[in-house]
Amino acid sequence: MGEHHKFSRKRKPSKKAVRRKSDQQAKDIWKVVKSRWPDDYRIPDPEFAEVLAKWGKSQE
Amino acid sequence: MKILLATYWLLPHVGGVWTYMKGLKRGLEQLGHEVDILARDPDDRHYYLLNKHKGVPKESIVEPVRQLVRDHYKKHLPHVGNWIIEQEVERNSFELAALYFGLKPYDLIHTQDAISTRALWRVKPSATPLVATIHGCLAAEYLTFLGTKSPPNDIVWAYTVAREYYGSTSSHLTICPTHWLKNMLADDYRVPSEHLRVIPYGLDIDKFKQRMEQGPTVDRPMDRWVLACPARLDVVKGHRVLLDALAELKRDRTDWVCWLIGGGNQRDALAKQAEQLGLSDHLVFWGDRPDVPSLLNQADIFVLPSLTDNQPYAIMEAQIAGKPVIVSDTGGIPEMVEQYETGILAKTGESHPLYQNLKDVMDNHVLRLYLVEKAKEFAETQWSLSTMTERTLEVYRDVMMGGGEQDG
Repeated sequence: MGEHHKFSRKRKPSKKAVRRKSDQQAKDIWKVVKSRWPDDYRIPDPEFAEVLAKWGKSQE
Repeated sequence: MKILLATYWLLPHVGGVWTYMKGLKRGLEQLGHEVDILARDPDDRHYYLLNKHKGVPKESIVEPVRQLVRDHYKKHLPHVGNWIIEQEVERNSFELAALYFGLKPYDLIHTQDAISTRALWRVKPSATPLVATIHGCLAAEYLTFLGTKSPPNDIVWAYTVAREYYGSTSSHLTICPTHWLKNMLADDYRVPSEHLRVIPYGLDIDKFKQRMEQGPTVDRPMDRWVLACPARLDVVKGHRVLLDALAELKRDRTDWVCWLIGGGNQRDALAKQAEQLGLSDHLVFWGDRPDVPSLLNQADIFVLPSLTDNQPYAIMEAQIAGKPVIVSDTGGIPEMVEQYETGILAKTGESHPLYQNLKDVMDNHVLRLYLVEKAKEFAETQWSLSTMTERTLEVYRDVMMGGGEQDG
């Protein structure tokens, strides 16, 4: 007893800091995802794009 | 084997897909397999491996994907509207979420809907077999939503059909729980019949019985019949037809109450209809309940008036629980109920035959006992979880030995 404890109150991070952290997290996730794309992978799905392109041509 | 069960559905949810996935996971694990589940979380804010509590914020994947998809369509196909673009964004994002968690550790992937099937097919390692189970037809549901049987001649319908086709064929084999669904996919959406295999659902019957016997969580009225309708309050479940049938029943007898077990967007509309029909004192809206087996156990009669349905777990559970089953003859239901043997079917969407069947079962003690005995006997073998798991494993073995219809 007699020991003096100091409880340092953690400061709440600012909104800007939270956003910066979350942006960085998103960038890191996207980096991982990109590094795992299969060789022939494309966005959007080409087969669906073809269906939609054909439909467009059929209306011309 | 290490198996990934994947779905685009939000999990957990109240519904058949989740019941199926939980059951299959348990069945496979009992046989020594290791199973992970990939899904979206119930708030739709994360993709996650549900059993490992490992997630990734959805936004971090969706935002860059949206940019890519929008840029592409704006530049090359400007006639494509926002709804389709967003559907593509969702599916492409789900496939990248799967890549983020990694698919290499799995010996087999088993997807649970058209969207996750197409998604994982595009990103899985080429040697990994992919089996799909399709629990319903998105295109048919879209027509029900439109309130028509004739497909519209528009781009959304063209897209919806393509989604059904690619969602059912982007696998080595696709499982359907009913012949009804198999025939629909083959006849209406050109999915090769040999690519589809029918395996009815199964459930852990002992576990269900335990839950059923956990004791009453609510007191049932002892002086009245209790009719139970466990179904989410959605247009497709046909509650409006049931209420019309009950209005007719009320003219004959008033010694009953109907429990509507489930929540949903039709709650207010149904309450209003009940009031107009003078049924308010005869209905209880229980909302979503964790104790459905116990509620069902207390009921006297099970009723499900679906306008469209595939293979509702609710019917399987009612047969196991020994309740007379009174249902509509839509979709895959006639494969579950043999007329006047394991239940009674009424023409879908028609209230008078439904009323007549309810009245018959209430009036005829012998019929009631016969239906219950026959249904219990049928359910014990037909809906066993171990049968479903064994038959699913047969499909896994077939595709792993190269016996699937399509090569990856």
